[in-house]
Amino acid sequence: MTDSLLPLLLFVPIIGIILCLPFSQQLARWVALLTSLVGVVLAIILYQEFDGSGSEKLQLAWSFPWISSYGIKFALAVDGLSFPLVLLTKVMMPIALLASWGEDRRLRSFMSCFLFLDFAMTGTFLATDLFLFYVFWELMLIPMILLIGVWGSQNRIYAALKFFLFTFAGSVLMLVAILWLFGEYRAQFGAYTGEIALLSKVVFSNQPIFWGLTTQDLIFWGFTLAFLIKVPLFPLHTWLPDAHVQAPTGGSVLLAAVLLKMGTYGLMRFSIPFCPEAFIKAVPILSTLSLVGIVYGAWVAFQQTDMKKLVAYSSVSHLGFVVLGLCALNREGLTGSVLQVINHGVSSGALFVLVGILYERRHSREFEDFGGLATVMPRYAFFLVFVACSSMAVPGLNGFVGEFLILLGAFKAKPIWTYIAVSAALFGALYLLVMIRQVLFGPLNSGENKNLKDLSTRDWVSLVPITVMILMLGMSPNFLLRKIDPALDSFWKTSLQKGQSSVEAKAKPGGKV
Amino acid sequence: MSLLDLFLIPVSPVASFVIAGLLLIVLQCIRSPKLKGITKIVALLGPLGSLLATWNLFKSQPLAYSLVTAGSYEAWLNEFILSYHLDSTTMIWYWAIGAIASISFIFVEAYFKDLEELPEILILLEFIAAAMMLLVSANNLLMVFMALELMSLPTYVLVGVEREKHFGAEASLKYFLFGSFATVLLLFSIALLYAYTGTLQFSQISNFLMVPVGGTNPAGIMVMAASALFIIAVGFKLGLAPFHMWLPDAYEGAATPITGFMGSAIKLAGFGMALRLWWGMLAPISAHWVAILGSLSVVTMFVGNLGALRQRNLKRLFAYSSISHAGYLVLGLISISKTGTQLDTQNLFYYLVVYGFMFLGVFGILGLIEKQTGSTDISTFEGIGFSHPLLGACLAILVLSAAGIPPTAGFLGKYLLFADAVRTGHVWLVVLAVLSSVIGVFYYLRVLVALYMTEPSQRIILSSQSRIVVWSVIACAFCMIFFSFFPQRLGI
Repeated sequence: MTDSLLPLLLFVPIIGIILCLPFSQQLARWVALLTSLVGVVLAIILYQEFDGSGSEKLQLAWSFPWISSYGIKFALAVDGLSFPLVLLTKVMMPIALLASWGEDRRLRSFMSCFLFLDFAMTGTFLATDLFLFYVFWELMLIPMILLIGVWGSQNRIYAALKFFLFTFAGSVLMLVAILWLFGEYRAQFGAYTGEIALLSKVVFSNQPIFWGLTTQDLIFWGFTLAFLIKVPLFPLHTWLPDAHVQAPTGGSVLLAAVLLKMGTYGLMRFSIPFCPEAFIKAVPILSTLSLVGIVYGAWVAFQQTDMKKLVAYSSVSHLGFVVLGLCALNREGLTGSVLQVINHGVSSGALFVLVGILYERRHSREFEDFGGLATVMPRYAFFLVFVACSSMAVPGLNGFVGEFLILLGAFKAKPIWTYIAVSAALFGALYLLVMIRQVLFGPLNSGENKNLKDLSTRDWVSLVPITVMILMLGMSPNFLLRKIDPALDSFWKTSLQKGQSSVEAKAKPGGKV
Repeated sequence: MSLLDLFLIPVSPVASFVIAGLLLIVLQCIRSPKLKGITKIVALLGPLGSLLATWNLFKSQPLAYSLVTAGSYEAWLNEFILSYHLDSTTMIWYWAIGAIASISFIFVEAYFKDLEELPEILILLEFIAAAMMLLVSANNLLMVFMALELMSLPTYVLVGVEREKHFGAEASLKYFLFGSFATVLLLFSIALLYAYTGTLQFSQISNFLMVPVGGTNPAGIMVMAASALFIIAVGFKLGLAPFHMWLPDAYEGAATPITGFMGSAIKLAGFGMALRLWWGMLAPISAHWVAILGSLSVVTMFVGNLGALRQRNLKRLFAYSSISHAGYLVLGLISISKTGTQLDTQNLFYYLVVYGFMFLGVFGILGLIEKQTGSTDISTFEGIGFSHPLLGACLAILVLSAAGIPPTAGFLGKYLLFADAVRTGHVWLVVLAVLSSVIGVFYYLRVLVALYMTEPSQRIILSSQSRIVVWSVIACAFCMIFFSFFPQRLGI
């Protein structure tokens, strides 16, 4: 069982797609839901099986050769960096499906797209071969563009194309970086390999080859641009609001909860370990951009009157924190970043679910159409306030732990970062509170709103697990941290510290170059 | 070894096409209405027999027909035998040509089934296919010239075969004028090379060029001029920018399955020829042409991709797309390296085959739809993804493969070409290539948008007779997935 756990995790959605096809449109929905629940069960088994403190970094490895003359394998494994994200993917899947339960157009294709997205996302996190990772990374675009473009709202085609072109532009540059890295490895070790662990052994020369940039810098930026577009970091974020607003609810949930996480995952898995020195050199740029993103995202979110757009811009702000935490180059910032990634996945996913519930009933997301909903939908109001609290980092809930650690780390690195970021966190509270006031409180003026139904059973089923997760991550993040801490430790030592010390050694006059 | 072993058996894949062609001519002369049904079957015997003959060659002794054994005959016979080169690499090309030709024949027969001139079209196709095989195994400039002409002249006719469409006549004339101009240039460069070296054999010319040439002495100028003329002539034939002007018009004006054949099989043969000309003959002076071809490849990619952006007619769109693919292929062509004496052509070949099936499949679908609706405008394809799920999915896979998006073989092909290019030090060309592919993705996505994201404007009902075409299209789409997971099948 344990040997085939990862392939099972990966391929169960594909089995689900095959099962979907012969059934009627209505049944396809149930098949998809069952498939995703199987995924959750497998994720729980994975949680049991995964041994965070084990001596082996990559666990449950499984592979078979693919393109042997280029050293490319179909290799899967899980380690402390990918483990929480795999769990997140699997847990968010049924929630996203339930959020789009009301969809009634071309259900079979719709559900197949979801399951295919599940497949691609899981593959992206599990791949331990760089080529395989790239394949899954691009593969993800296809179901997502279909979800946005076929089942989206008014302006869906524009949003779908924009989403695709932005991400694709980033990924092709990553492809060049990958090829270059493979070439460097071959030049140094005599054979091609796709294995990520081996590729990080490549040593780069310090000769500037292009406008003062070394090979390492160029490869780093090739990888990093792709990831920053996905994060998305200011100023590469413009695709995100469009994609979020136009996507169907389930698509938005997955986009926010999982797809955006690929960016920061990529930074930690590829950019930094492959090119640690280039990362240290890039810290001033990255931290500045992330600070601008934090403030800008919060400010723009504050200006929005569309709930979905507000949540989308808040993502820009929250994910800026993640990059900032990495830039702090210390252990607190690192742990904070990883936690923030998970927290944002849960909280913003939940926010999109909640916005979707309202949209389904009222077909609007504008503040001005609502007001006073707390009187007709008290249970809904409770959940919205609760999740908003988690998103604005109220102590005791999940958002707080991550953001606090990041701010602590940032303070140790450069206090000014913390001042700026904290002021933006204040904004974070502000725009969410404004949304709550406009939507939930005040007079119930519109007649249509008087007959809105409160939460249905289906909504309960999707919201309760999220609430439990928010509480668990907030109260005792240790249940996750103890599994991933050793991996973070080794990441910190082998990548961040190594990069820092070698950059310092070079900076010293007379130090070895 | 008898003459039969040495010459006749190796040419059997070529002969199969020629025999089928001659048989068709005989059938046409008889003009009996009873024989009408047989025509289609006889025509298919050409490609199928050729595949069989290639298989037979493969099975018997892959490398037996080397050039060394030809020594013991009279001089003229030696020269003749030497002009035809066959090795295991060439035989893989025969496979590809045979397979692509088979599918093309199916498309052509289905598309022109009511046309009176169908047998004539098939005859011309048989000879073109034979010429393509000769072209990829030519080892002599005269042979190259003959094969190229045998391939081109029937193609000029085929482009204009739909006489009632004035577009076809225009396309045919344009193609003819540009094509013959290119031929003249090729002939001139052959003459220059012959004047300098005194031979037409590739290997002898190559040996001659081993002695450094260049500078301003007459010999150097002669060789440089010949090599430049080669680039221009082959550039015209392959449709490289800035010699591509004829291509969109010819591809749009020709009947759809003919375009499919031109874009896939003739491109394949053209690159086979280019490979042998440059790496088989002009390799010693590669420093002089690699940079030129490199810049041509980038210009071609951008011209193709930018040109396709605004097209609404899918035939024209894919014509431009084929220009951009020619750009990628040239990038692969200049990145070929040697292990020992063997050229590593398998990556280029992989891309060519994948591209060939992709182009063929797309034009198969275009032909189907055009037959029903009379149009290949993008609006005709709106909503097909849901009204004809199978056909729509096939077109989507083919288009994704053209765009180079995993897990299709088109992606792996691009990956392998770019890996070669990076290895041979063309990193910046690769950066430009991937950037142009981003532009490319935009118009490929427009096809996807039409397929899946727009409501159908009209109802298209496919006739049941087109089933074999649909199956061929499915086969092409299947290749896009299959070769991606089993690239070993194409020698990777």
